[in-house]
Amino acid sequence: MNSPHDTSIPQTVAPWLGACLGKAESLAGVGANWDSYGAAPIERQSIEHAKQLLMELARNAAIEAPAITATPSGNVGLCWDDGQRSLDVEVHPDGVLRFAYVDEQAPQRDHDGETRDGRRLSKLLADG
Amino acid sequence: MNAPEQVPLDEIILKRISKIQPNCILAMPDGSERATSFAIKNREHLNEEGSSCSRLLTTSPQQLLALVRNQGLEPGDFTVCRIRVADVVTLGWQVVACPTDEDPGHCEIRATADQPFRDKLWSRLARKCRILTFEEIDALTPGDTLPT
Repeated sequence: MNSPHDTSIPQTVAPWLGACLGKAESLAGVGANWDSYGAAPIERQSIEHAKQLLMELARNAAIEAPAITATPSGNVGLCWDDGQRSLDVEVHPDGVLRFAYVDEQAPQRDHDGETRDGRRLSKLLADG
Repeated sequence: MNAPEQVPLDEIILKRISKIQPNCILAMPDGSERATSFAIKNREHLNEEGSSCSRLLTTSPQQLLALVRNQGLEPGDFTVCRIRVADVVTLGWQVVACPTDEDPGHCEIRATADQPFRDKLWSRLARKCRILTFEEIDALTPGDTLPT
């Protein structure tokens, strides 16, 4: 099992992992008001937890690369959208993953919540 | 105290979106681009009651971008997305006009007593928030309409 700060890339992972880890790391140093509406600077711990989550998700071959972005509260945001379903994940500095899932073909399945378990998100992405 | 002015359902409102670092634009499978939900939601860490936007009736995309110069930012680092007021109201929220000296077209997406803000609703709204093309940003003037 990797240590909390071990970001070495195992061999059997999705090819997008390296690029996504780099994008997450590049958010370090983004200062306040980056959105022109008063957004907070990006939290270092959010970046670290996001990288750990990416490494976990990359072990599932069914999961595609997320868009790496940021949230106005200063956290890393991960977004997936296949045209019908979307998943938005905000990675908090304490490791909480706040997520929102939308399904255009089945709106009754829309839901949001919080988890610390990346496997829950992995299942959403892989199974819908 | 007068009730806040509700922006009419048939109006379009605009929001600035960061396009450099971090990039808040999502490329969709059909080739279109939209804003992320994070880019359009209210700033919770500022205890914001609503998400700031601007009415296309009053503020053009170019004017909206130019406003960032007042903050020492570069307009070229941003783009603009369009949001239909009807899509906001469909979710149970409201759009309230709150003009400022800097932006007479300023308005806010606000929750209602019946429908508080929810992450899944921001996500649903964001899927309808199309990024304007370069041509639209250049050409649109206050009062113009957008067919899609």
